Amino acid sequence: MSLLSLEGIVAGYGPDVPILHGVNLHLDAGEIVAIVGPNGAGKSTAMKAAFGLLNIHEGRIRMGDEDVTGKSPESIVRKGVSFVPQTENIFPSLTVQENLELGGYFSPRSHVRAGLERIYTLFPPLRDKRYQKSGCLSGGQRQMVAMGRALMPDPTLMLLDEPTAGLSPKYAEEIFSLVLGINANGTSVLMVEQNARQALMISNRGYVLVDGRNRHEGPGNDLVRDREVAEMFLGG
Amino acid sequence: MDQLLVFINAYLVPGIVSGSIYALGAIGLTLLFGVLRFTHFAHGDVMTAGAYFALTAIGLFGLHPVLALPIAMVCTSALCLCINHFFYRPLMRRPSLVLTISSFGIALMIRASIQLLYGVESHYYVRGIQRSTDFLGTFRIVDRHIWIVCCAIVLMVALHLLLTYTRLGKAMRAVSDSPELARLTGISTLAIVKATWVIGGSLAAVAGVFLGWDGFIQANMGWDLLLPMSAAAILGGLGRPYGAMVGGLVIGLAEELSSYPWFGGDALLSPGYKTGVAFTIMVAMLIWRPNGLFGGRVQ
Ligand SMILES: Nc1ncnc2c1ncn2[C@@H]1O[C@H](COP(=O)(O)OP(=O)(O)OP(=O)(O)O)[C@@H](O)[C@H]1O
Ligand SMILES: [Mg+2]
Repeated sequence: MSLLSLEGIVAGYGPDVPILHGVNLHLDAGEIVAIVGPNGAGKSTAMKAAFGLLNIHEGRIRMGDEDVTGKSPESIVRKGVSFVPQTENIFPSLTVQENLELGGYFSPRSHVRAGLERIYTLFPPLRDKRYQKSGCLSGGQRQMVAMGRALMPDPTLMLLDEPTAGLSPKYAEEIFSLVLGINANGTSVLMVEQNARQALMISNRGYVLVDGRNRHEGPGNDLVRDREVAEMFLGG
Repeated sequence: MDQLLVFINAYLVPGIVSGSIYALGAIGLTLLFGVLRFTHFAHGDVMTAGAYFALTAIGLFGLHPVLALPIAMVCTSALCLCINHFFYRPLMRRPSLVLTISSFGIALMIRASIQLLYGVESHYYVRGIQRSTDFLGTFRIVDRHIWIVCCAIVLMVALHLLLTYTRLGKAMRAVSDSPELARLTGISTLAIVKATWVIGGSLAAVAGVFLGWDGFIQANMGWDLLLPMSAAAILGGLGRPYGAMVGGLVIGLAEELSSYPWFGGDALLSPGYKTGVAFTIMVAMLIWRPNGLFGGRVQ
């Protein structure tokens, strides 16, 4: 049974104009799955739909054996699913530590303390900056705060929307190895990436989304090798 | 020495007292703006309601105004929660201008209800000559002023502790920073909105009681304070509770000190222009520093 599945999702930001026109995707326990595609393809929209932020016009969203179509984000996050959005993914006027603590908003106090320790070990630079306002950090460190916040409840599934956007190649490399580390610790990962080639190479499977529809799908390495995909979406 | 005495007793102390009252009101305005993204024009009338709740309690049980505070706070919070439930919540998904305009309507409804129930004449919590305390043998400060300033300080410290150290306080600041991310994090906006009404309503009630205690209770009293309170909130930067505290004090002092005879024997500004001072500060801020004295983020 899939951890998450979107079945024929037609959805949009309002009740009428759909952005997704029947998206199908699924993710099994333990997998890393990448969604790639051109700008405006609806990749972020698909993630928001999965997290209960959109109007679902048609189709079903399931998590495990449960139908979560139309459930609120507040209830989905309590099912062990975390989401790091593409933009506005930290609380800028709160300190680094407060951001992380809010990641454990619905966890017991002792979990929060252990979680903080875990995150500071994973992202050592955050430990030194824990009492600083997160809005004052560099782009890479903000991304650490955002991912740290999402990792606080020790999720079974994490949705990452363009975690390497705006980061230097070296930082991007670090994020990718981090994703592998998170996955090795038992968290499944669904990510949208602009660095499509690298993302597909570390993913078990990938989806190419165009104009709110599935265009291609398959194992990550196959997609990278596919001539058409490479030419159209990976820059040759 | 005489000059200094007059300055302190007749200008500085009243300035600090009205500054404390403005600050308590402005904190509510600014918290509500942060969480709900709209300017609550009925906030002055919520204060008036608080003052009348206390008046009723004092009339019934013969309480000291300070002891009537908790009753006024609870009743005013309940009133705010009802208003939120029946009027603002159904409009929550509309543009915030709709909420702002409907808060004008609420303001009129509160004021009209008070006038119906209590009439239009003025009321008093305490009659007769007020006790005062001497400091250093010379400064004579009325007891109620000491109470007002001390209570205001205690409440502001309490709010600071709440916002900094509690789960609720952090969640409130998170919603004010980014409502969508707060939802993704599992924070229920609805619960935070309710908590904000309770806090804003309680502080407004206290402000209303103090205002009535320092003068008289009358149906228009809160509405008249909306201008200096908004000025205080804008001065401190909308959405910033600490800014509102400072803003309130600055506006209160500016109003009082503007009529001090700084040069020669005449008042710098006739006391009749007091409200003009707050208005001028507000307009100047909106033109030159719309994000408040301390700059920063307001979308
Ligand atoms: N909040 C919104 N309200 C209305 N329409 C939106 C909103 N956000 C995105 N859209 C529209 O939805 C479509 C898909 O946008 P989406 O952000 O999902 O693309 P994307 O694939 O994530 O692109 P990118 O690579 O630029 O992040 C676009 O046409 C966009 O204009
Ligand atoms: Mg996107």
